[in-house]
Amino acid sequence: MNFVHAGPTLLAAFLASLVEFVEALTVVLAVGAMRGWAGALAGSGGASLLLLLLVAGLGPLLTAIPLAIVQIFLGVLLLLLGMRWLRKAALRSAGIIPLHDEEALYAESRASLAGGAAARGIDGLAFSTAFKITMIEGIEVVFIVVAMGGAGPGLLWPAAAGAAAAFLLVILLGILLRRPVSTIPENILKFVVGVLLCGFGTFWVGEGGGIAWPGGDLSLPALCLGFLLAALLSVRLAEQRLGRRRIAP
Amino acid sequence: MSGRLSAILHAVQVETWALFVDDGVFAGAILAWLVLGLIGLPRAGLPPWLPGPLLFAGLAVILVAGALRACRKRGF
Repeated sequence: MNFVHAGPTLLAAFLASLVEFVEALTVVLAVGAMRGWAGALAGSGGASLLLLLLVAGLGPLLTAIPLAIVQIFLGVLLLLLGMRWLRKAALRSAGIIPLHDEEALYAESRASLAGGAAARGIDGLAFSTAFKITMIEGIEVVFIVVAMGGAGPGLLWPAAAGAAAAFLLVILLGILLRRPVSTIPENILKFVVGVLLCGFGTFWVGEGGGIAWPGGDLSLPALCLGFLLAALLSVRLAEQRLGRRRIAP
Repeated sequence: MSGRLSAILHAVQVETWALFVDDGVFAGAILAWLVLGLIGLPRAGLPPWLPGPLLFAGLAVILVAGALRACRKRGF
């Protein structure tokens, strides 16, 4: 393990997890406010425990498979996820699709949970809603931790540390603010994470497939820079399309 | 409760699939290029430094073309 791999692995896991945990926190806060905290915390805690077991099970399982196969498999999945995130972030930056709005999600979640008194003790609706959102957002975090950490020797710890740091930060923000965290520039985070996932995904696929990267590990930052430029070009071209449409009669 | 559990499992399954594929053509193009690149590029008799940058270049083109295709689909 070296810093060229461990640093970006930790950063990508931290930023990607931050985005996902913030989305989960928004819904869990709405659930807690509308249906009671016991059900919200029990549902979210139960799902977190299940996700932790998934990471603990999948991480060591990958070490039993030949590294080249793991690198190709995880690299392909990283590319599918990263390219999807990057394209969406580019379209959002250009104004083709709207930005994600945590305040609107909070209001929508509160409205959907209104009506009917919350049960005493653990409310069933609160438990299932909090469990579902934590599982859905958490699965993405588990995948990113396993994919970023499993494709190189010794990288699982930096990836897990990045996700754990994001988890603690979001919990702290939730306790302090008791409101959705709407000030985080989510689209910029998705842009950065998309670039890192694409860079790593391409690098792992090439390594696993026996392609020699010029400069070895140093080609990783060059790949990330290349994807950043391609994404910025996508934003520019999409903005031109949008501008052309706006001035058309 | 079992209905609620199966709804949760279904939602998790749908979201897990959507994690990787929200546009079949875009995902298909990425997979097709990776298969072609991994099988074809090392056997194409190119200088050893070239297959890596070509693998990246194909993906970059798919990203830009995918963004433009998404614009067209939304009427832009």
